[in-house]
Amino acid sequence: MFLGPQSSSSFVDTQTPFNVTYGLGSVNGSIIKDDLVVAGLPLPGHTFGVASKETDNFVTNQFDGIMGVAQSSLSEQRTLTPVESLAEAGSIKDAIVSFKLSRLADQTNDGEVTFGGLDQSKFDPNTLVTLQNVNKEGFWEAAIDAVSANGTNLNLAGRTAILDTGTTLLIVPLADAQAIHKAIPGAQQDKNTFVLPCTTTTSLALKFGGRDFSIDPRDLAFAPLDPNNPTGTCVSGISAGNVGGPNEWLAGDVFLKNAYFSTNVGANTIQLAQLT
Amino acid sequence: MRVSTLSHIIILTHDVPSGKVSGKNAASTAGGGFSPVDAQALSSDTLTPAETPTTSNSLGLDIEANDVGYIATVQMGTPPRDFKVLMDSGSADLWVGAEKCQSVDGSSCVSSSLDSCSPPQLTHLH
Repeated sequence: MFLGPQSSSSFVDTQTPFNVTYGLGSVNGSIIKDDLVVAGLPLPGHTFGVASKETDNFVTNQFDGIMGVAQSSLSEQRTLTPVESLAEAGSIKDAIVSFKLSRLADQTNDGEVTFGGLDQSKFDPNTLVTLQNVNKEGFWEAAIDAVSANGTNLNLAGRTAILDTGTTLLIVPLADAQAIHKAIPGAQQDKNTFVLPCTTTTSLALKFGGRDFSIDPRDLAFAPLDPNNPTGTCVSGISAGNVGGPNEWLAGDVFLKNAYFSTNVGANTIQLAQLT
Repeated sequence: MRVSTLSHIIILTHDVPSGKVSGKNAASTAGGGFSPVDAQALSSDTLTPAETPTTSNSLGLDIEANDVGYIATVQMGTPPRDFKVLMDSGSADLWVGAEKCQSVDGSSCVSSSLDSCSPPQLTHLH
């Protein structure tokens, strides 16, 4: 699906170029205005982009584009995100967006994004924690109180994690990745990636706001090395990489499938809760 | 070193050959190994559609492959048409492919080598 003047009578090209670089590719295009509807909520004449050049990894039939919902201070187009625009328009009371990321293997397919609030039916309210955003650039980043494997503290103090639904894995500095995988029986290192038994039962927990959020062991077994051997060796869902500072983690879907995740631009806070 | 927005690592292992997929579509359990439904979704790069959301102001999040990304459907333009967008809490731009992206060779958006681009203001590089 593509957007432009031939397919949309309300399309306006501002002729201003934009470029967004992601970890695995980039897009170039033009900033435009057109009518947008998000979850039934209208944003007429919303400012966003259409891409005329995309690197290979974005040429896919699985999605037509990307909606970033970090804070707009991060925006290359220098414009409000739909969450912020909906709040500014009064369509939602606060610039809140909340996520339940569904695990395919659970076969519930109940993944959901909620604009303006949290879906109370998705989490246990007794487990809700509110965290200060420690990032100054507009990412959503929280302090990790502790990291444990099967209940044993790994003594990785002072770590923070950027919470990123748009990243698949959990990416941590190499030393931390080594420490974590030492605690997973059968895990081995291969440069910046790790492998472990697909049948692992090790549960890694990240503590935020005083509460442990455990990663389901199935999420650690990201993909088998040999697709014909699903109980053999798997690529680990935790890999090594430099996100920013030496104690900075990038917690993608491997972690976020294990919590209800909500962000609030106005309060500059993050909330996590146990999924029900 | 951080790039201008977040380092996303969306890994699609397109090179993985199709494995045998046997068994019913039962939910897997920890310790059971890589589930057949994951194996099928990975090898086919399937988009698994979400159930209808359970509350207002919400969109279902379709699952890309074996939990590689999460995709919502929004409407753009006049008349409104459905666009699928990857929901990304790690960046702050919204974009979809341009019409002229399609017309260059008549198929879906062309790939390109990384263009040298000078955004007006680099604010996020470390």
